[in-house]
Amino acid sequence: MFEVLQIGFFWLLQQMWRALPLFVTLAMMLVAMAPMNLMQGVVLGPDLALIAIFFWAIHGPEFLPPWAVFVVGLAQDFATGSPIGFWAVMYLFAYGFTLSQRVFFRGRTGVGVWLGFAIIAVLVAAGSWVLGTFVYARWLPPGELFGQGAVSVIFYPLLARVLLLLRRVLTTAPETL
Amino acid sequence: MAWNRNRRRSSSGSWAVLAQNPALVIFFLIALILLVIGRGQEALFDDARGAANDVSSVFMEVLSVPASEVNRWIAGLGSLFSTYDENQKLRQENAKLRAAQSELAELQRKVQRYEGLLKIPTDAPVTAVAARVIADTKGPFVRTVLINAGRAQDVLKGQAVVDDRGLLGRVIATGNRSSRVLLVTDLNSRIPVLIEGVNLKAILVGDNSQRPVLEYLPSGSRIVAGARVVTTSDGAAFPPGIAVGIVGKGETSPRVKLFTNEGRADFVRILKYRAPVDVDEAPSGTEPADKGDGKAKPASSQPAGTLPQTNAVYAQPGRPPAL
Repeated sequence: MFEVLQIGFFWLLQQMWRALPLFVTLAMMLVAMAPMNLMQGVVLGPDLALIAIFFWAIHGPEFLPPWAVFVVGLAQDFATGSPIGFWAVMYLFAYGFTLSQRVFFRGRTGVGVWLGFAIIAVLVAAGSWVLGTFVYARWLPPGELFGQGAVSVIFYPLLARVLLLLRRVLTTAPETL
Repeated sequence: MAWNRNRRRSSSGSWAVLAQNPALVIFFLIALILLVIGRGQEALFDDARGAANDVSSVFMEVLSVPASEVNRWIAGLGSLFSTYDENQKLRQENAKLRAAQSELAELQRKVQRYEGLLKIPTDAPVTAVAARVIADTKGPFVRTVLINAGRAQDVLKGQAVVDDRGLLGRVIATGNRSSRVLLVTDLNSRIPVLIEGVNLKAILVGDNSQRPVLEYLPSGSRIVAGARVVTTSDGAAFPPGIAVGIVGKGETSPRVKLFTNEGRADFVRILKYRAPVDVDEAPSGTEPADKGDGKAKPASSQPAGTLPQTNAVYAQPGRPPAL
């Protein structure tokens, strides 16, 4: 009986360890929601969840599987008061698209990956605008979406560094594909 | 070479990713289904949203403390260079206000006397609950903030939220210890307002910009830039006279420059207002049971499917509410 409990406990611990990228992504989202007003209302803050999703899709999709991306999307929907499923759809699209283009990042340097993220950010902004227009059934100003995308691109190298440290803690697998 | 290229495409192309990740397709479809269901039946997720707000509010209360300190530092840094000018401006303003104070007291006495003489019914008393903004959850389409007061403090959906400068928004979802506030600038915000001076009524419509638009003004009406805009009790939603902003200058459509600064809202008050509306007593046995959950039940005399009067202002036919 004790052995079963011990195995169960270690299995749970292992799963929690593997889910660390998910917890870190959720924590980043909470930090981004703190009422700091660093951008002074001029532009929205960076989409930290998108940055994390892109990073893990490139550097280790096994650490952030589709169900985890779904959870992050739902959390974003609940956190921002968006229609339920909206960000889950957009993040799963970004994740799937990044995975499909993963081969192009083979041996790329940091700048190459950064440009790749810029393309994903633009696609997600455009996709969100189209989906949002359908969901809200009205014309939506696209400026803020693309503004947030641009801010996310600026913040990407900094946050990618932090996530890279986490990846090194989780695995010793090579960082390049 | 061409054969290799084809092989590579088939093993790692877009469709291959979907074939290799059935979970991705399944979760994408689940998310789409949730989106479609949520669009038609938004009320389905109300309780879940309330519970999620309560959970996140525990963390956000902790995070909001260093965040407000950071805000204070930033504000302090900004004012460091303009302290002298600001001081001069405040001195002038103080002198003006002192002069206006005695005039105001005299006017108040006069108004009270006239009200007594004319037997004008006094405004319904407005009590308030103080709360703190613990999360700034603005997104590309949604302008909301989270506050740390909920059903436990008798906060209900639809109540007005103000800060020290004026109207900030209204409560749209309540958890046990937290509530979500839809800001005046949100796409779905509709506030009945009055333009002082010309006494024109309008609806203040948010469009995600910093300056909401004044709509449904009577045709041919003329409004002056700089006129004050306040709430009205139309629709029995808000107490009358809450300061909202001033009519902006040089706009193609009439827009309002808000008194509040959404990003700087820290402490707020939730106004508990009950409009003095005479309602005929319902026949015995048909009285709706109010569980105190903020969900208004239609009176028996009200046709089925119509909204209760308190929500009438916000009803947008053919369009689901924001949350």
